[in-house]
Amino acid sequence: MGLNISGSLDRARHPERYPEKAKGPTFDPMYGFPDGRKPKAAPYTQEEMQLLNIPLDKRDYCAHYFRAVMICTQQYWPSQYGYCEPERHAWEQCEIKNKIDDAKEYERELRLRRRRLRKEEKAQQTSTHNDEIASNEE
Amino acid sequence: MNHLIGLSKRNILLINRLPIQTTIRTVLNNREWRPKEDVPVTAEDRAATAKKYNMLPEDYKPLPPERNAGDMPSVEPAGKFFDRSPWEDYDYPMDRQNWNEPRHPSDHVKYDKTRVGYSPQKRPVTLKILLRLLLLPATFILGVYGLRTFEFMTPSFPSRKPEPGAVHYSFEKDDGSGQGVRY
Repeated sequence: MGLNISGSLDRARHPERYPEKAKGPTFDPMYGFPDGRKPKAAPYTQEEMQLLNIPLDKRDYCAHYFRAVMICTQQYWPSQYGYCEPERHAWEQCEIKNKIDDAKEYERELRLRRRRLRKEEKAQQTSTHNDEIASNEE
Repeated sequence: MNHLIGLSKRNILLINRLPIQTTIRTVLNNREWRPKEDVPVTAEDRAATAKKYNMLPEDYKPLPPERNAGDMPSVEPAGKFFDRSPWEDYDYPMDRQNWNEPRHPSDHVKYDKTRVGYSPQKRPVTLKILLRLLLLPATFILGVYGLRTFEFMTPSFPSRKPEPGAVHYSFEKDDGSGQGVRY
C-alpha cells in the first residue's frame, strides 16, 4: 500500500517519467528485438465471436479458452464446478500470460522513457559545456 | 469515609431510594399512615389534614370522591425528572425529591427519570444538527474526489483486445513461420 501511494504521488509529480496507461506503448515495438517479435493471433474474428455468443468482456486473446469453458458449462450444468476445472484452469493460465505480457510492455515503456530522459539531460549538459568552452576561448 | 466525599450521615440515609419505596408500599398497610376515609369539611379539619400531608392549608385540596381516596391530597405532577432543577438541595438527589413532599402518583411511574419520550424534546432540531449528519458522507465523497487525481501505481497496461486494424506483439522470437503466437 505504501508503495502504491508513494508511486501515485511520484507519478502525479513527474508524469513524464511514467507511461500513460490510456495511450498504451508509444515506442517502436521492434526496437531492441533483432530477431523480431511474434504477433499475437486473434483466435476468432469479431463476427465469429458474435456468433459464438462470447461475452463482450471476454473477447480477448483467450476467447477460445473461454469458449471451451462455456461449452463445458453448458454440457455439465449444474455440476460444472466438478467437471470444468481443467478448462477453467487453462483459460486462467492464458489470462495470466496475457497479464504478464502487459506488465512487460509497461516495464519496457517505462525503461525506454527514462533512457530517453537521461539522454536528453546528458545532451543538454554537453551542449552547455561546449558553449562555456567556446565563450571562454573568445 | 462519608465526610471525605461531602456526605453527612443524614444524606447517606436519605439519598438511598429505599425509604421512598418503603413509604409507598406501606402507606396503605400502616395504621398510622393510612389516610382517613372521610374528606375533611371544617376549616380545622382541613388545616390538620394539610399539616399531616406537609402542605399549606390553602394548597390542600382533596381528591375527587370517585377516586375513593379519602382525604389524600390532589397535587399536580411535579414534572419530569429532568424538568426539575438539578441545583436544588434535595433530600433525595437521585430522585430530585424532598422528604415528605406530597407528589402525584405518576411522578414515580410516568415521570420517572428512566422514562423518556412522552413529550417532544425540549431541544429543537436545528439546521446545525441536521448538517452534522452530512459530516461523514461529505468526508468520504471529498476524499474520493480528492484521490481521483492520483492514478493507481499498478505497473501494467490495461489488457488489449484484438482489433481489426491493430497488431499486438508478444515477447516471443519470430521464427519466420508467418504464424502468430496463440496462447
